[in-house]
Amino acid sequence: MGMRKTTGMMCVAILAASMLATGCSSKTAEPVKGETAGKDAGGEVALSFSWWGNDDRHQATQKAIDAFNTAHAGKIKVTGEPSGFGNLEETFATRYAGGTAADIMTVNYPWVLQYSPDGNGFYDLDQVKDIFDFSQYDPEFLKFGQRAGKMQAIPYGQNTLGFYLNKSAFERAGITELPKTFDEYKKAAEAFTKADPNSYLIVSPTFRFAAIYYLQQKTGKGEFADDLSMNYTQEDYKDALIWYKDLADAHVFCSRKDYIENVGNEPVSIAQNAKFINGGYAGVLEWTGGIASNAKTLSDKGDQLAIAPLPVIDGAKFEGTMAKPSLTFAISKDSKNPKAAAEFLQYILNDPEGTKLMGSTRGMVASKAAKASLEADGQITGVVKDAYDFTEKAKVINNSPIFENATFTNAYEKNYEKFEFGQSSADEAAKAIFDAISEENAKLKQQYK
Amino acid sequence: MKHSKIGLLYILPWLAGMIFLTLYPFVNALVISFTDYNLVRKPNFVGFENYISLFRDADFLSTLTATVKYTIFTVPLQLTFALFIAYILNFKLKGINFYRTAYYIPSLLGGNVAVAVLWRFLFQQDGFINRFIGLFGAAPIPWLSSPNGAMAVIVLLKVWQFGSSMLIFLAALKDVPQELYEAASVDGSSRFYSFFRITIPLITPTIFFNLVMQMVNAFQEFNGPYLVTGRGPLSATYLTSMYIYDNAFKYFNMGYASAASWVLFIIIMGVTAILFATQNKWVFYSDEGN
Repeated sequence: MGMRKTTGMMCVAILAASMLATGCSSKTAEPVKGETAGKDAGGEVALSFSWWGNDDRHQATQKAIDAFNTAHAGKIKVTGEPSGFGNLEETFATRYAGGTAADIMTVNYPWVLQYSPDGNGFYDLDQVKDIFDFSQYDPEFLKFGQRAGKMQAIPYGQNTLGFYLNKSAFERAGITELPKTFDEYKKAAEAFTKADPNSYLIVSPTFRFAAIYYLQQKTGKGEFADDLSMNYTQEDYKDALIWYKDLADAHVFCSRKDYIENVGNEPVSIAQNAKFINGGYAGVLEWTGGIASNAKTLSDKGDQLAIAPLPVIDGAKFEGTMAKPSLTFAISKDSKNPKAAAEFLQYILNDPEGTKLMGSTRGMVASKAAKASLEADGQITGVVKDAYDFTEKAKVINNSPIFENATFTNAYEKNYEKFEFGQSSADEAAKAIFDAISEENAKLKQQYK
Repeated sequence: MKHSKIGLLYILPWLAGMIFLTLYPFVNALVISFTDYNLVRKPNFVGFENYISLFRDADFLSTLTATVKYTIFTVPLQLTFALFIAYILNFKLKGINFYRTAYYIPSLLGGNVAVAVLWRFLFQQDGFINRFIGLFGAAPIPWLSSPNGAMAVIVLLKVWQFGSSMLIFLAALKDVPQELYEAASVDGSSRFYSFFRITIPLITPTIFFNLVMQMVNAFQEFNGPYLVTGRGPLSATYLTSMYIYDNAFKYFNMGYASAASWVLFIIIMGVTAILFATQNKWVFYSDEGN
């Protein structure tokens, strides 16, 4: 009896100990200052790198990581942490708040302000000027990654919103010259819907892209001023709603109903969407950052993507589009090896070999060294070269860092949906959008003053 | 005393998990619900502001409506189907074990991303379901792009996962004494009459258990609607759990989301209490001599 009791107590003790042990992670060890922490027994520094994208971006990035690891074998080892486009802000927010962010992080441009309003949200990259070559960048462009005078993130390149059309689908519909005006888009849509009544010319991850495109041209201003004030009135939002619905009814822009049916509820990349690949959507209104992915999925099917001229609305005060830094890279302020992390950043953003492997899967590069490397490798050809030329020539209004706030996008989507489904009038929907944006804008101005 | 100490040691792993992974976040959420915590800045105490704002928020109230609708459709359908299949699986038929396993598998797969993607494919405009009904001349139904269609899709996904309720019903059916059916049969009772006069009354405790468990699950449902329909057209499938998730991780209103989660908890507790209060009227326990 006594033996059984002892055995039983030993089993319980082992169970309890193993349960406690599984709750421990390697990060519970005593923190070590400087570059010695995070090293394994052999002295190799372990780093993690997080990013999001489609399969082509994942493959290219992993190749770059593998090459870096080979070149730094025994000294630095980087592990990739890729994810899709969905829920990327929620994933980032959770990891950041939980202190589990990767050493090197891909950071969306608005998050630099959001997570580092005082310049202390990420590692100060001015500390690694001896490792990372900032001279490859335009100093004005680098300001997108600065907060409170500190370099918080390196902007990768410029993203420009453009119309990218499936040229092959247009040719099959008997249209050899791509539309230049919205009237030409309407005529083209008639030809497409004769063959397929469910087809649309342009799909966009969010109605907001088209609405802002219209409002920028109408007013000559971006949605928010430099001091974060709103530039658009309720009447402006109403005009945008009516303009978009008119074009959606004409099958130029994808209707919200069709988007929900064939893509989903959230703004996501269309590159791997079946209806886009099969020509049911004959083009996208998207950032240049996604152009390589969109072109690749079409070319796998034998179709060709082309950049269309920017259509201009009647009475436009501005004949361009919007732009923003495509994405930025930052080093976690909790990283135990920021200098090793900076070496990795130097490799993927400036090194000839690293940038060649990274390719154009993240859109246009801002680094002169990276652009030279891609040109030498023959990667800046075809639609990617067209995107570079387009980015250089397009007239743009840069987005405010608060532009991508989720509350704003939700207000547009939700209320346009009600308007399209006949649940509210244009006036009601415009008021709801204006009120929601005003309320959130006031909070953000207070937060970032 | 010694026995109770040993017992405590045996449940220590579970207890530790319960305290650190359930109770602590539970209490922490209550504390955060009285602040304006947004994951990045230090939280400031705001009193009952979050709770007051919740009940003035039309979006939150509409998610409660969607959640109640979802629960009202899903739970009775799921329990009815589970009981029906359990009744059939209680017969001694050839290969019955295979069918019992097969009907349980959806419960294991249901919350799976692959199943969610498959479910979207099935119900798309040109998906399998519309092609099937097209064979009978019916026009395609806009399952995903109409509010009622989207709700039907997520209800069907949940009802499809009736396996766990079915197993519990099966166990209860096996416990019903066969002599009662034999005696009823001798008195000329039909199968239909026996089912409603013998089987149902005797398994009411199990029905009650499944009803409470499925009701609690339905109120907290997240995976299916999130993966398959998202908010849905006109927020038709925007359940309260998704609202809490969006407020916490998309809009960074952690305090507000915590308040919403506590309101949901209180609602679930209230409905459970009502069910418990009504059980005297319709649940018959064999040891009560009724």
